[in-house]
Amino acid sequence: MSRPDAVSSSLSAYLVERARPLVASFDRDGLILAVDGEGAHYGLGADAEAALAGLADELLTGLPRTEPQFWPLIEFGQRAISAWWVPDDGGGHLVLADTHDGGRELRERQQAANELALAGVEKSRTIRELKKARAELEARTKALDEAQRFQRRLVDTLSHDLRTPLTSIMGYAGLLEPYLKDSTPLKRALGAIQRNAMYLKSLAENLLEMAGDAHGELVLSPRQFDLAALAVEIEDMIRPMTEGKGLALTIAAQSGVDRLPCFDDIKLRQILVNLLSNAVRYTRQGRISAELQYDGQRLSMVVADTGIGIAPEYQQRVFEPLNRGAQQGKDGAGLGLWIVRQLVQRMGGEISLQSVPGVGTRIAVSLPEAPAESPLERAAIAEEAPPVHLANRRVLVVDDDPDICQLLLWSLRETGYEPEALPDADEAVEHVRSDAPGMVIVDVELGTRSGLALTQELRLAGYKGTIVVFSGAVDTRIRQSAHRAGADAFLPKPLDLKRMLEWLRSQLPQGS
Amino acid sequence: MTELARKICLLGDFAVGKTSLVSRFVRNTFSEKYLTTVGVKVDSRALTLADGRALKLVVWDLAGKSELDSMNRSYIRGASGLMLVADGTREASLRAALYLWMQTQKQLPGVPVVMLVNKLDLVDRWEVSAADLERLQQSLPTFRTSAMSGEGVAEAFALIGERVAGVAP
Ligand SMILES: Nc1nc2c(ncn2[C@@H]2O[C@H](COP(=O)(O)OP(=O)(O)OP(=O)(O)O)[C@@H](O)[C@H]2O)c(=O)[nH]1
Ligand SMILES: [Mg+2]
Repeated sequence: MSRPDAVSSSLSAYLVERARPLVASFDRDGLILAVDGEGAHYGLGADAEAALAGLADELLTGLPRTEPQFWPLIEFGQRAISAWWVPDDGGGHLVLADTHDGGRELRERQQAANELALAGVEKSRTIRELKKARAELEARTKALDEAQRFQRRLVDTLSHDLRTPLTSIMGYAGLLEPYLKDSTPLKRALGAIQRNAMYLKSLAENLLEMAGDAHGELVLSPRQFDLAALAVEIEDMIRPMTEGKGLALTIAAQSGVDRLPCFDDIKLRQILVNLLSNAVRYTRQGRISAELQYDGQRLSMVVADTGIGIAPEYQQRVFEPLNRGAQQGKDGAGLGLWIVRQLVQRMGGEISLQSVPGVGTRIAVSLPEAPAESPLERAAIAEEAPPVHLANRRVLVVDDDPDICQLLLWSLRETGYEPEALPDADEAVEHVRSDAPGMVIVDVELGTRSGLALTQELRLAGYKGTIVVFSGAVDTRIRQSAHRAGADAFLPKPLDLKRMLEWLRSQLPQGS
Repeated sequence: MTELARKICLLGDFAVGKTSLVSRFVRNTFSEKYLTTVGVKVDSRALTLADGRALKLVVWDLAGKSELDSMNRSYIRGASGLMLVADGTREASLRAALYLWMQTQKQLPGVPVVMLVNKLDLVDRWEVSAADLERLQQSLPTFRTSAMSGEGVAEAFALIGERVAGVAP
């Protein structure tokens, strides 16, 4: 059906009005003949003819002027327009027409879509980069972890390996002591051996502490303990050092309350041993003293010496690690006071130092009492295990270090036991089954197997006698594991032979 | 009309810098702001060829698409050469440019083509590798350009100008 003429003409009038056509007519040489329409609507001014001639040239470059052309969407100035070329008698007409809103809507839609796509590209790039960065970071962290673990293992191994020979040195030196008369050169030599072994021992402890601390593993295990007994123990430990140098030593403990203090006594021991060995090292004559005082809330420990002292400018530096400048000319790894400060800080306490060069040094530590121990920790066996009654005097020592075996055999025999020694766990199980000794003493660090595995095995096999384990590792975890494995007593390395013998003596079967 | 004039078309994905390259070439200007091109924008500039002749290069800056649609097909009619544009920071845009080129082959067999890998000033964020560029270089003249700094722009247009001047319109 064809449209009635009247409809067609009003429709085209409407469309022409909306399209606002601009028509430029050209002759066969491409010269402009006439322009019809509102140039201003397309941003054209006085030079409209030249501009339209230029546009026609550009649009028709490469195209025959004898054919009609249509360009639906062209950016022209600020607008989007449609254009035609209508050939006419060798020349033709360039027709420009408005798109419905100057192309604004179309532009906005396209702009939004493109920007969204770009944002998507940017986003996935960022995610990719983040992933890469994270992978790199993880790799670096892993490498660092490995390096740290290796370092940790190195320090652990080193300090453990130091402890075993130290047990031999300190043990044999202790055994010699009663045979040497006072003030003989031999006795002095022995003192030097003991003193230096003691230095080595605290160095090993400090190394372990440092390795643990660097990994944030310093765990406090407070428990109730006897302050006076601690003082005696420390005095026993330090005495050989001071005697060798002719220094007076006093260690006093005082408690203002009936209750036993509750602190991590292993750490206390470490603090005291470090402070005292430091004092001994830097004192040539005079005396060393330690005063321990508990008032029911805080424990104060004051260690004083009449040593070379520390110049004011060095007083802060003595608490820094690996610092040797502070007390010049002296040997030592310079870890002691740093470790002390770390420990004191971890325990929530304070430390202060007063020193006058040539007169002496006084270091005061004050520690707040720790909250009560957990039941689990109370269950862990103390070094002073409760007395057990041995069925007989036969003792089996299981240790792969021949020097330590020899030392233990000797001391056990001296004390009245009938000891035997075996280097490995398998033989030990067999021996215990056939011989049923009253006590088995096991080194946790056996060559091929853990002494704790042996302990477990003995218990599983029905062994009811006393099992004592000793180890170079002294944290609470190993004590608890030892307890869980079925050990009755735990002794730290290096073995304190004197205390051990006393304990063994008290364990002897009654009436024999 | 005795003046030598040739039409070239810029093809490439959106926002790779086609309009910016034309602005740099024709008016020596640059804008950071992204204003997408709708349809086509036609511009021209006179060049002096190596043999001394003058050439009016008519540049059709087509709206960025990753495929050749029917409108763009009609717009490339009469073109004597193609300028493919990719954005060095978007590897996908390089593939888009090559795909567009492939789509023009039937309509414009054997016309001179140059490839512009743009945004050289952002080279530290480029995804397009030196190996990619080397491979490209083996199949078509390739320029690394920056519409922002102008680097490589004149050289690329000069080469396409020389090439299209020898082609009948
Ligand atoms: N840094 C940098 N930015 C550029 C360069 N070239 C273009 N741009 C930016 O990239 C964006 C897109 O540029 P346009 O020239 O509009 O891109 P187009 O290819 O014409 O995009 P369409 O018209 O949508 O196809 C704009 O923000 C420009 O400023 C360049 O060489 N370097
Ligand atoms: Mg554009």
